[in-house]
Order: sequence, then C-alpha cells, then structure tokens
Amino acid sequence: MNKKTQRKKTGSYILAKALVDYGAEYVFGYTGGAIMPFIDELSDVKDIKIVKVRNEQGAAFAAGGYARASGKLGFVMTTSGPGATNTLTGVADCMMDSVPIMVITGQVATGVVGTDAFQESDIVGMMLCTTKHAVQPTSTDELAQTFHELAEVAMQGRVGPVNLDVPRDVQLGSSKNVTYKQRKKERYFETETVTSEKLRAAADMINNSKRPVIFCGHGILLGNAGRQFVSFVEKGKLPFAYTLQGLSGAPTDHALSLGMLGMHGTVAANRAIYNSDLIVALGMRFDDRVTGKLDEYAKNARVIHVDIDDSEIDKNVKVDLSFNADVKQVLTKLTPIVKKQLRATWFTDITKNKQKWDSYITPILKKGTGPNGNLLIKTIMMHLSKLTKGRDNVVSDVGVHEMLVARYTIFKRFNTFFSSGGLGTMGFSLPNAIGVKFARPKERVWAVMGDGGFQMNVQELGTILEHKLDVKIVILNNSVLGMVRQWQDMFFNKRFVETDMTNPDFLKIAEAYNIPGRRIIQPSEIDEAFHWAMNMPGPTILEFVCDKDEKVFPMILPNASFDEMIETEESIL
Amino acid sequence: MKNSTLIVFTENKPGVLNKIAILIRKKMYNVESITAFETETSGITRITLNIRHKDAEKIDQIRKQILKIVEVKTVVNVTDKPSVARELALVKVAVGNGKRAEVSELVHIFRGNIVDVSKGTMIVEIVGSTEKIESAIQVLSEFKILEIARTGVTAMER
Repeated sequence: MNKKTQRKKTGSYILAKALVDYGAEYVFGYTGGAIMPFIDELSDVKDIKIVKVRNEQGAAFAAGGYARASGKLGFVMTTSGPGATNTLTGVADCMMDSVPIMVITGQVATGVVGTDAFQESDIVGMMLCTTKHAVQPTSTDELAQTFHELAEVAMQGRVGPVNLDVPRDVQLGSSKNVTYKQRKKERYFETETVTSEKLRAAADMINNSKRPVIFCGHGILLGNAGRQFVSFVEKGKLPFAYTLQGLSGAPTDHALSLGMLGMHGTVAANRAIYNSDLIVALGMRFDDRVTGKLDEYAKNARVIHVDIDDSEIDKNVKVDLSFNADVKQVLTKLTPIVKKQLRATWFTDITKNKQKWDSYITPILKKGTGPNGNLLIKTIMMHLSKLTKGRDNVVSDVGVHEMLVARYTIFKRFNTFFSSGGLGTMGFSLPNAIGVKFARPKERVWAVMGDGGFQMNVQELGTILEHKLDVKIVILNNSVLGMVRQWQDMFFNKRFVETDMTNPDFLKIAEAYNIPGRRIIQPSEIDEAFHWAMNMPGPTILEFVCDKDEKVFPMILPNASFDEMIETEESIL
Repeated sequence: MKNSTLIVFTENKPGVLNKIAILIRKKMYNVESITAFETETSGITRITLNIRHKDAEKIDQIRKQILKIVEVKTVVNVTDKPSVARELALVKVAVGNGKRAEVSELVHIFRGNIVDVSKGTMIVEIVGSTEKIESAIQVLSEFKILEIARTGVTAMER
C-alpha cells in the first residue's frame, strides 16, 4: 500500500472492502450503468469471483442456492431500474424460505432520485415489502455502517434477504469512514432464555405421550441441528416426518422416518399426525400445505413448538408449549431428559400403513411407465437414488415433479435437497443449482426440473457455459404443466386450459451451449443414461420423456381435513 | 370485534413509518388511527396505533409482527393495562344568528375551547378520551357540523 495513501476512500472501495472483510467468495450479478463504479473496483479483488449470470433473477436464485448450501450470506450485485427489479422474484423466494442474501443494487445519483431518471426505480420501496430490511445510504459516510447492519440483520434470528441500494454518487464519492467498527455486537432479534422448568415440562409431555410425531422442519437445516435431531428421535424412539423444507434434515431412510407430511405427504405420516396425541414441531411454521383445514388439524394432539421466530408461534396453530429459541440449543438440552418408550401399538399402526403403501407402489415403480406409456418420474428418481446411493445434491424445480422428487428420492446426507417451498417459483432449479455448485464444488449437483421450469430460466445455461460448471441437468419432460393439469383433471372437468406445452428440441438447445445431452424413452435406458451423465467430466442434460398423466398422491385438499386424504388415484375413480 | 391500543417505540429513522404501513397493508390490519412523534429520549419515536380486530389472540400476533421490524425496540399493548388515553378533535360548526352563546355553553361543559369564530362558523377544540370526544360530537351535531379533524388516540401507562 502506498505510504502516501489518501485517508479518504471511494464508496466503491469501501463496499468492496466490506465484502472482503466479510469473507465473501462470490458475487452473483450483472453489470449496468448505475453499478459500474463498484463493479470496476470489485473486479480487482482477487479473493472474490464475480459470477455473471444471464438474467438478474438468475443472480438472486444463484445467491440463494449458494446460501442454502453453505449457510453463508449470498451476495447479488445488479444495476438500477430493470436490473434491480428483475431480482424481486428471487428475493421473494428467499423471504418465504428464510434464505439469507444481500442484494446490492446500483441506483441513480442522489441528486436525481425521485425524478424518474433513466433506469431509476424505487427499488427500496419494492424491497421493503419482501425483505427483512432495505436501505439506501444517501452519503458515502454511511456506507460501511449500512453494509454491516444489513449483513447482521440478514443473518440474525430467522435468516432472510436484505437490500443495499447504492446511488452512483455514493459509489463515486469519498469518505474517511472506510470500515465500520462497533464496540459491542448489536442484537436485532431476541429469543427467550430456555428454562429448565420448561424443558422438564416438554420432556414430561413427550415421555407421557402414546402417539407422538416429531416434525423435522427447515429450522433443523438452518440451525445446523442434524446430529442433535437424530440423537433426539433415537433417544426417545420417536417417529418423525419432514416438511418439504425439512427434507434431508435426517437420512430419509431412517427407521423412525415416516417420510414427508402435508398435502402430498405419505399415508404413514399423515395418518400418524391425524391420530397423534403429541406433535413436537421443530423449526417449521404450520404452512397451509402442511396443515390442510386448520380447524381440523391434529385435533387430539397437544403441540410443542420450537421456532426462532416468535411471530410463527401461535400464528396458525395454537400451541401448548413453545420455545422461541434455536432448535439446536433446545434439542441439546432436551435429549438427555427424554426417555425411550416402546409404544408398540403406535409402531404397529405405523408399520401397517407403511407396508400397505409399499405393496401398492412397488409394482408401479417397477413398471416405470404411466397411462400413456411414458416414463414415471417416481421411477426415475428411485433409480437416481440407487446409483448415487442417496448421497448427491438434488435441486428441484416446482410442480408435480417436485413432489415426486421429494417423495421418492433418498437423501442420506444432511442438507442435500433444495427446492422452492413457500413461494413455489418455477425456474428455481437451474440458477439455484449454479449457486449450490459454487458452494460445493467437489460434490455432484443434480438440477431436476420440468419442461416448464427449464424454460423459465433457460438463459442460465449461458452461466454454466461461461463458468464451465459441472451441473447435471435433468429435464422431466411431460410436455405439460403437471400440477395445474392434475387440478384441472380432478376439479375443472378435465378442461386443460393452457397447460399443454409446445416445446422446442431441448437437446438442440443444449448443443448450442456445448452441453452434451441424451433423451431417454424406456425404463431400461434410465440407468445407463445416469451412468453416462455421472461419468462425464462436465455439465450434461438428460431429457426424460415422461407421462403427462402421472399424478402425485396422496393428496389432502387445502380445505380438507387429514381424514379426507385421497390416497391413490384409484380411490377417486 | 375489539379495539386495542399498541404503543410502538422505534428508532427515529427514515422509512420506519413506511414499514409499519406496509405491514398493515400486507396483513390487512384494520388501523383506525396512527399518531407519531419523538419521545423524551432523543432518536426514539413513539407511534400509537389503534387497531380494530377480531379477538384477543390476533392482537398478540400483530404485536409480534411489528416487533420483527428492525428499527422497532418495543411494542406495548396498553389496552387492558391501567393507562391514560387521549385524543384531540377540531370541529367546525355552522352557527346561526344568536346561537353562539349556546355553542359556547356546550363547549364549556365539555371543557373544550373555541379556537376560531367567523361569520356563521365556529371551530371547537375538544381534548379527552374517545368516549368524551364522541359524545361531544354527538351533542354538537345539533348544530350543523361542517368538518371534523381528529388526531386519533395517544396513550400512556399509569
């Protein structure tokens, strides 16, 4: 460093330094007029790689995937106006699923803010509706502190997205406030101090219950509490079920696992919840896809709810005992005082339900084709699980395939399933898989999507091309929007309005991006195709021709109670 | 249905009222009044919300949601606590010939003030509880009420 260094530094320098000091490795983004000063400065920073995407929505999703897979804050960088607004869908997705990203948006100069200047948009106004916090520092003096506060807010309590909107003159201006040093750590969110009385009360409820079910929610993953969760359920011999976002919190083939719960959950899980006398909900929020009709939900069960966000406790489901605290902390203290009970009758019921379903589904899985003779997604995922021994990362898009991926894939490793739960955004998989791959470069990452979702962010194949990313893409092409089609089939008199897809040749698109691809039509070709993809050194596309009438069951309708669960397609015919 | 009064203490930073307004719109809270001003502590703003809602549980959920806003320090529900609640109303009445004395007498009974007199109108200022304000307005409606401006409730624990 130059001895005669000016004591003042530019805003761009200050922001770049803030990222370096924070430990950022990647910034996913796209350039433009209002962010040029900053990106120019950032390009000289050796420790941070700029990952240029092809649409800023892709940047928000890639940063989200990086955050989901690494547990660290993901960073996005865009220009003003359309660059910033393009990120909103990804930010909304992160808000719903509690994923921490900081979206740094360039902005027009403070002197022209509010004049409808070129590429100006009130992004802070829009972000305030779908972030934990959004700030536009109006002077370079505030920049370092604002960055710091936003990073803290994003990562404290229930993690989530934040927006830092930096006017161009703030980037270009200079200030002596180069780094922000605080004397003591600012706490933005409080949780409760867990008392031994409360823990004793919880343990008593658990030990005295005859038909308990434990819920493995997203909080188990966010709180890095996988081992504590498994210790807890094994100590008490407690059957458990996953929410969609809790999947891979524990090995899905664990003996105590009931599988996924909720609208498209397993028969075993949903029946158990319906009949339970105690629910221990860990890091989940009783979303409507999980509960169905709230008045009827688990009528005879008492509820213990552990969540880091106090506003989720008693929001949808009235609870009997709650802990507004981190799940890992609670489980660590609870496990020693939980006793193992045999609960033979309870397990007999559970096993009976599991076996009944297994004998129903096994021949279907084996056959591997649906009513129209095309491939079944459930069979494909079963094959993938076998070949990867359930150890790979799977990033799913949204739709029927998502539910089938969640239900039929085995996840043996902690935090290896990624999907858009709360917002249910199509186009999630491809850009999120990019972020997951950057977070886990040595692991295999499968981006599994439908033909609809693939086309929502198809442009990110360009990101894979540019950065030579070894992402294994799987397109489950049934030429329809399957989930809506299922609803139209069941509730709209089979009026298939706008759910048929006129698709191009995906393999030709792959070829244009230098990505080798294969199309698979018969069940007998599945294993060979996966082997081929796994042995290829770089990205691949496997296009499976799937059956448009493969539906996902069981199904509990939004305003139905769990005893109205539709178990199989045959039961409604 | 019930009315509850929440006092929100926040940092005095731009955008806080905006965030509360966004929460109100997003969650469809039925806010009957908002008052806001700096407190005795510099940098802290006191926002008083009067909210109409269905039952006891919902107001606690509202309190928790407001508390999630980064700049909010505390939220106190004073509805069922010993507290003092006051609002101010300005009422413009059409006062015909010879009626001024009558209005003046009524205003005196409510311990209010006449703050403006002009040909044919008077502006009355009343301070008090919501019940008192509403009964004063009802009494004054004997005369033609041209305009009412109410501040909404501010409250303080005893």
